[in-house]
Amino acid sequence: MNLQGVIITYLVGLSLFILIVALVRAHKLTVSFGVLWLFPVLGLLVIVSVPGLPARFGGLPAAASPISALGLSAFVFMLLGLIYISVQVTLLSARQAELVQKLALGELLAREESENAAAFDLVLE
Amino acid sequence: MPVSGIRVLIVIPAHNEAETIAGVLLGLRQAAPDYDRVVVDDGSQDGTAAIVAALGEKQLRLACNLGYRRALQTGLNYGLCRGYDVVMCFDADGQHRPEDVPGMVDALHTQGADMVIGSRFYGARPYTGSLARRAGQAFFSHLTRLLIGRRIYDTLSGFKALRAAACRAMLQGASMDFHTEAIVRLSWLGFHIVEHPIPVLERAGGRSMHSFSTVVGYPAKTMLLTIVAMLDAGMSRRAR
Repeated sequence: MNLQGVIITYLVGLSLFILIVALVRAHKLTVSFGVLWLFPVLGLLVIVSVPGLPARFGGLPAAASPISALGLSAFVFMLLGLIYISVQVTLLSARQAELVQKLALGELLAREESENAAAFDLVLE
Repeated sequence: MPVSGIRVLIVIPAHNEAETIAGVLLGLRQAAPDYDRVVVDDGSQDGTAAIVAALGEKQLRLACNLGYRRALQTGLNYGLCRGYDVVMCFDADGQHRPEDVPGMVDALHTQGADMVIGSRFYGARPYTGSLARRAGQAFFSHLTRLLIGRRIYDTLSGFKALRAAACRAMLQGASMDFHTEAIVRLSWLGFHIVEHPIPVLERAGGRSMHSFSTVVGYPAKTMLLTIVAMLDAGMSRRAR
């Protein structure tokens, strides 16, 4: 892989890394999904960092042609698609968790209020 | 000697801890009678909630299993909501000793700390544990030294005491189990964290939440969250 290809891959990898960290920070992506999608990004960066490894990696499934720009585009497209789906799943599960938490808190607070009110009634009597 | 004039809440997240929860609660009643307790039943299916109710203890019942972080988060939110000065995290599996609770609160005051971590690896009788746990512990302990300039020996401890302000700051950040990432976040925000030596008992019953998959995934998740915590705290400091 030539220098231009390495630089472009690094820029793509870095952009994906920043995107994933920003989504985790904004609570839009759970850390499990974040780690899951960081692995292919880091893997990609490792492959292009070692001279000769991209060609070897490309030849692993007995493909005759080296890794192409089209292959990189497909990788980025699929990863972005998966990140988008993960964000939607994260938002849904976060809403469900918040609902369950609010229900539990509401139940206990309401029970305590009614007990306090009953105790107040007893004092008045 | 318990510190007088402050309100302390002990938060006990529990998931399928029917074998141990009664012993833990009775022990806490005896060892720390002045402190309030709340059990967060994290969708248990083994009768944990019924045991807690039979003992007449306060409990927050989560309708389904949300995991340790969410359970703890619910209990800490309850503590803040009710205006407690200090909130403690205490495990329901019987590994923590109730008699260490007053000492933790005392350490919070005598050392002027915002958070006290009950440390298994700090003090005269260090905890041994499994090789994987010790290796992970050593890694994160050194990582905290690198990031906050001071070594925290037990970053994975579930036994903590926090002042309300530190608790609020901890809840605001992205977190997993309130371990390394929370320590780094609080430290970067200027909160004072100390360790207090505690002995840890063998698990009395139930199943550990740690499995092979957590051993593999935990370091990666914690690393990512630590990066997020540093970014968050750095930006909060700049905004002040």
